[in-house]
Amino acid sequence: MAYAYLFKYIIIGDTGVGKSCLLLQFTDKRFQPVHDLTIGVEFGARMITIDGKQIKLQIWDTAGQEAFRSITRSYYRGAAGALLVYDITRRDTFNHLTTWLEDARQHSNSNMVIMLIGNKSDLESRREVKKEEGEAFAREHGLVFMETSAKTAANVEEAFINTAKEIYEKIQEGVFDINNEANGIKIGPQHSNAGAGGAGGAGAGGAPPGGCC
Amino acid sequence: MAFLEWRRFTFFDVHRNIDNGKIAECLQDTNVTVATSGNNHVVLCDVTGWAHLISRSWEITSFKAYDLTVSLAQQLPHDPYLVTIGENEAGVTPLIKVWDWSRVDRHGNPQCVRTSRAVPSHMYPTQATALAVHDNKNLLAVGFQDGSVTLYRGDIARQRSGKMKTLPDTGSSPITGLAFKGADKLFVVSRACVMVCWTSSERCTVLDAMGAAPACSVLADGHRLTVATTDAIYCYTTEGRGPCYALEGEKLRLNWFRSYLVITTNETSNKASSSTNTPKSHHITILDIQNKFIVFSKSFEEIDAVLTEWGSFYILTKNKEMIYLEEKDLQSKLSLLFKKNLYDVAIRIASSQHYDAEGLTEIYKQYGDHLYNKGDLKCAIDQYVKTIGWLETSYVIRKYLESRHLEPLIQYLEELHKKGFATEDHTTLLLTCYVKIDQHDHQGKLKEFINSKDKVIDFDVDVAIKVVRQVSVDDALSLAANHKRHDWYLRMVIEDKKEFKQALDYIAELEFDDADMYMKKYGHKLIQHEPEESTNLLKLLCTDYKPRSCPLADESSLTGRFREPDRSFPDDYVHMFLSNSERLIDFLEHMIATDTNCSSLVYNALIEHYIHVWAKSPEAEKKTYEQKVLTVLKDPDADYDKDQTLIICQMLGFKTGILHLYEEKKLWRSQVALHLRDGQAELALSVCRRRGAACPRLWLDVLWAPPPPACLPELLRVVDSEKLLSPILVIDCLASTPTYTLGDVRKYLMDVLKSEDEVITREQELASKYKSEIEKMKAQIQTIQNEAVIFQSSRCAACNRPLEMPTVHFLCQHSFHQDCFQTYSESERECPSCVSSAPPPRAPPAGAELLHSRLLADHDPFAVVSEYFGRGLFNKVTVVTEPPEPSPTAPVPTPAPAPAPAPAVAAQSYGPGAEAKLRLQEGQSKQVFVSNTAKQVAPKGTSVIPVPEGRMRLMEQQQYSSSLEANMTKLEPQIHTKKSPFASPSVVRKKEPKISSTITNDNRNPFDENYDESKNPFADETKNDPTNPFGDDEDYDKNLNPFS
Repeated sequence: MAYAYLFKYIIIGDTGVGKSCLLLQFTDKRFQPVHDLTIGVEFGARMITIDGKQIKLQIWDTAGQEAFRSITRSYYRGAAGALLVYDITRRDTFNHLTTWLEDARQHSNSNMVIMLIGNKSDLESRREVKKEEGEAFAREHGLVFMETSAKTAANVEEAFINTAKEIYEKIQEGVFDINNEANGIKIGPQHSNAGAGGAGGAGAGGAPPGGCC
Repeated sequence: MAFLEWRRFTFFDVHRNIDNGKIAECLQDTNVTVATSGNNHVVLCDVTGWAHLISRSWEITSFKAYDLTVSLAQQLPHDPYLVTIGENEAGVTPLIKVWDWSRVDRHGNPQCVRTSRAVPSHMYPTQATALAVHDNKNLLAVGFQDGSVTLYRGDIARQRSGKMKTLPDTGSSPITGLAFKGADKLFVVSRACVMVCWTSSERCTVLDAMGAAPACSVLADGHRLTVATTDAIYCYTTEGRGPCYALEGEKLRLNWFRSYLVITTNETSNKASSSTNTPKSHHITILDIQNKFIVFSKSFEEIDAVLTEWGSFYILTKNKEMIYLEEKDLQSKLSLLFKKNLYDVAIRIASSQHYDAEGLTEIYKQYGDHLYNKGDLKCAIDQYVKTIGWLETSYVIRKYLESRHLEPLIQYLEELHKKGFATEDHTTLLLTCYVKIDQHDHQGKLKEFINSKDKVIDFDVDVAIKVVRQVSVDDALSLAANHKRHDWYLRMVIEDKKEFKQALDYIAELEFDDADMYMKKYGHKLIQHEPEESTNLLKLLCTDYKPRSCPLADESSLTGRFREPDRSFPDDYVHMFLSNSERLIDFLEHMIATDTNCSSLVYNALIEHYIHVWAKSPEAEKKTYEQKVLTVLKDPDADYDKDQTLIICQMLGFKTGILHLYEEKKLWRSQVALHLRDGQAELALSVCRRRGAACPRLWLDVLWAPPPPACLPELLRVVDSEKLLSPILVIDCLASTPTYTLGDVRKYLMDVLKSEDEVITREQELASKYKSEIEKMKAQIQTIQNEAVIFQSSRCAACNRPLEMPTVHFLCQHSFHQDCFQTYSESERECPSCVSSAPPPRAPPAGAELLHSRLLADHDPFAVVSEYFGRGLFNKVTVVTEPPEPSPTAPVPTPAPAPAPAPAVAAQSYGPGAEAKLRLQEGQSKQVFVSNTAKQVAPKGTSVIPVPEGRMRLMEQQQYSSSLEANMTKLEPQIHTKKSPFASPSVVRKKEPKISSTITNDNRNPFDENYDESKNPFADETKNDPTNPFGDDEDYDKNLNPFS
C-alpha cells in the first residue's frame, strides 16, 4: 500500500505495563487478557491518515525486562517516536520512567517525539499513580501525556495518532531531516520520486528490477 | 535456556535409528562436512571427497566428487542438480561442480555437468565459505573467506555459460551465509554484518552491524532472513531489521522448515562451567515463530546435520545415527492442548494450519464450555460468538437463559444478528433481553438499539416492532420511524396511542405513494377523530401533494422541468367520510373547485351529501344548501349521474333537485305528476304551458289528476284545441271526479258541440256537393255514350298552332296534329296532355311480397304481423250492410291508415300537425286530399279521388284512441270503428261497380295468388293509393277508361 511517510515508533516501559497490548489494540483492535511475555522485540504496522496523507506507522514493541535491555536498546536508533508506557496501578513502573527516558534520549536522535502513556486506565480502583502526577512528569520533561486503556481501547488510537501528528508537524516545520533515515522517517515511494529529488540514494527502492540474463 | 515465557509443547516424536544404521555403515570412519537435501534426496558429503546420495528408502549412492574434500554443497529442491564446492588438489583451489544425478556417466556415477574454478582469476585464492544457488538454476553466489562474494549468472548446468561478477562493498570479514530472496536480492551474512545486495545493480546495503557464525542464518518463509547470534535471533527483511527473539546460547545451526525454526545450540558450552566432563551435547529447539511456541525441545548428542526432507526433520548425529522427528498430526496436537485447557493455543494452531471451519467451531465450543464451567461467562460468550453459523444457537442460548447471564446473551444475540443468522425468535429474545436489562439497571439498551440508525444489527424490524410494541409503544414508534415502517408506525399511533393528529403529521411527511396508501388505509379512523386536519391533508393529497419535509422548490422545479404533481383520486377517499357529511362536502367542494375533471363519483357524493346535510339542517340553512345543490346540478361540467342523483333526491325528498333533474331528463310528465301529487296544480299547469307544445300528454296528465276546477277552463281549452282527447272521454274522465260542476265544463261542451255541429254541417254540404257532382258525371257519361262529341278545339294541344289535318282528337277535348301526337305520345291510346299531368302508376308489388319484405326489413316483425292483424287483414270481414245508396258501396276490410307509422313515429305523433301528418301519410297524396276539399270535379283521368269522408273521421277517432290507448288502454279502436257513424266507407269499385251486398272474403287472403291486388290496402302506398279507383291495375281495362 502506498504511503506518504513511514514513521518508526518504539514502545518502551517496564515489563507488564501493557506495551504489547497497546500495540495489539492499535493494530488488531483486540485485547488479549493473557499475553505471553515479549521476548526481544516485536513488530506491528498500521496505516493512518493525517492531514489527508497516508502514513504508515511501524511500531517496535520491545521487551520490558531488564534482561533484554541490551537488545532493545539497539532498536532505539532510527525511531521517530516513542511511547513511554507506565502502569497506573503500579507505582514502581512510574518511578522507573526516568531511567527509560534517559535510555531513550541517549540512544535515539534528539528530535524523537516521546509520549508518556499511563496505561490500564480501566483499573481505576487499583490506581496508584494519579493522573496529575503523570501530567506533571510530562510537563517537566517536555512530553505529551495521555492515559489509555488497552483493554477498553480508550485513547489508544489517540495516543498513536497524536504522536504521529506531532511528528508530522515537525516535518512540516522542517525539524526533521526526512532524507536521513536514521530519524526514523521514510518517504513513501511515490513521494520520493516526486518531491525529494536527491533522496534516491537512501535506497528506498531506486533500483529497477533487473531481469535475468 | 533463555527462552523464557514461550509455551512449550512436544509436537514431535523422536524415532531413533530410522535408517537401520545404513548411513553409519556407509560413512563409517569419515566425517560429514556438509549435508543438504532436496528433490526427495539427502546428500551427505564427507571429508574424503565422497558424496552420498540417499533416497527415501535409505538406498545410498556414493561417488567420488573431489579428490580431496567437499566443503560446500547445495542440492536444488526441485531438480536433480547438486552443486558442490570442494578441492581436488592441495592448496586453496576451490572448484565448483554441478552434478546431474539423473544421468550417469560410464562409471555409473552421477554426471558432472560443470566444473569451474570458484575463485575468479583476478582474485587471490581464498577459501569458499558460503554457497547459494537460486532455484531457477540461473544464479549462483559464492562467498569467500576474505569477504568477497561472486555472483554467477547463467545456466548453472552449462560449462562457462554465464557471466561472473564480484559484488562490491561486502566487507572483508568471512562470509558465513548467502541467501537469495527472489531473483534480484541476495542476503549476505558475514561475521561482521548483515547485508542485502541487489543482484541487478550490484549494490549492497548494510542491514545490521552484527554478523553471525556459519550456518546460523537461514531464509525463513522465503523472504525473511533469520540470523542467530549468541544473544538473540534477529529477523531481517530487505528493508531493514525486524523483530528479534531473545535466545541466549551459542547457536550452531539454524534450519527452517515450514513455519518452524529449528535451532541447534551447543549445550555443552552453557554447562561448561558446571560439568566439563559430560559428553558434548547439542540441543534442538523448534520454534513455531508464527504462534510463538516452542514446539519441541530436546537434547541430543553432538549433531552433525539437521535435514529437512520428506516432510519432517532428520537429525544426523556425530555417531552417524539418523534420528527422525515425526510431527504429530493436528488432532493429537489439539487433544494435547485440550488436555491442558489451552484452547486459545489450539485455536491458533488450528487456524494457522487451515483447519476447517467446523472443526474450529468445535474447538470454540469446547473453549466456551470450558470457560463457562469456570464461570467466566463473558469470555465464554466470546468463544460462542465464534461458533455462530455452525453451532446450534439454542445450545448457547439455553446456557444463558438466566436473568443474571443476560448481558453475555445479548452480546451473543447481537452477534447473531450482525452475522445474519438471526431468526424471528432470536430478535424477540434479544429485545426481551433488552427490556429486562433496562428494567434492571436502566441502561437504555433498548433505546440504543432502536436508535441505531445505520442498522448495525441486522434484525427483522417487523418482529422487533412487534415485541417492542408490547413493552413500550414509544420505543416501538421510534423504531418504526427509524426503519421507515410506516404501516407499523401509523398502526401504533392510531391504535395504541390514539394520537390521530400525530398520525396525520406523520403521513404528511411521507412520499406521495406512501401517503396515499396509508391515507387509504387509515383515513377512515383519522377522519373520524380529526376531521378537519384529515380533510386538509386529503385535499392536499388529491391536488398537489408534496411531502411536508420537501423544500418548496425542489431541483426539478428549479431546472424548469415541469413536475407532474402526484395526486390521488378523490374517489378513493369518499367512502371514508361516511358519517361526516360536512367534511366530505368541504373536501369535495375543494376538489371540484381545483379540478373540474372530477369523476362522477365525486359529484354524486357531493350532491348526495349536500342533500343529506340539507335534509338535516334547519330551515334557515336549507336555502343555502339548496342553492349549492342546484349550482352543482346546473354546472355543465359536473359529471354526475343523473339517475342516481334523482334517486337520492327522491329518497330524501329534495324537491327542487327532483324537478331540476326531471327538467334535465325531459321527464315533464314526472314533473307534472310530482306537482299534482303535491297538489300544486298551478305549477303542473305551468309545466304544461312550458312543455305542452312538445308533449301534449302533459295536459292529459293534468286532466286525469284531477285538477282543481280553477284550472279546468285552460286545460279543456287546450285539450279541445289540440284535440288531445275525444270529448266523450273528457267527460268520462271529469265525471269520475265528483267535485266538478257542470258549470266547469259547460263552456267546453258547448264549444265541442258547436264544432261538431259545424263539422256535420260541413259534411252535409260536402255530401250534397258530391251528390251533385256524381249526377254531373253521370250526365257526362250519358253524353259521351249517347251523344256526339264535338271536337271544337282549333289549336293543337301540343304545339299550340292552329289545327291542320291530319289531326287526332281525344274525348278529353284535346286535339293534336298527327305529327305532334306521334312526336309526343308514347302510346296511341293516351292523350299526351293528360298522361303528362298524371304519369301512369307503376304496378304495385304483390301484397304477399310486400308483407315479406316488410317482415324482413322491419326490426320488429311481430309488430308488423300484429299490425296486419290489427287492421283485420286476416279476419273474416265483418260486412256492414248499408242501406242502398245512390252510389254503390262495397264493404271492404276496414280501410286502414297507411301502415307507415312505426312505433317511433307514433311516439312523435303528438302535438300540432301530428294529425295532419298522419293524414298525409294515409291519404298519401296531398293532391287527393286537396282535391277532395276543393270540391274539384275531376276533369281528367286519374288525379282526383273522392276520398270517403268516413275515413277521415275514422282517422280522427283513431288519433284519439291511440293517445288514449297509450295512456290507459281503456278503449279499443275497433269500437270506434264500428260505432262511428261514419264507419261505412264507400269505395268506388272500378271493375265491379255493382256488387252483391254480402261478400265473404274466403278468397281474399292478401297472400293468395288470386287475391285481387286492388283490394290490398297496402299495395304500394307510396306510388299508388290502394283506394284509388283509377289506379292502374292488371285487370284494369284501359278501354273502359271513359277519358281515354
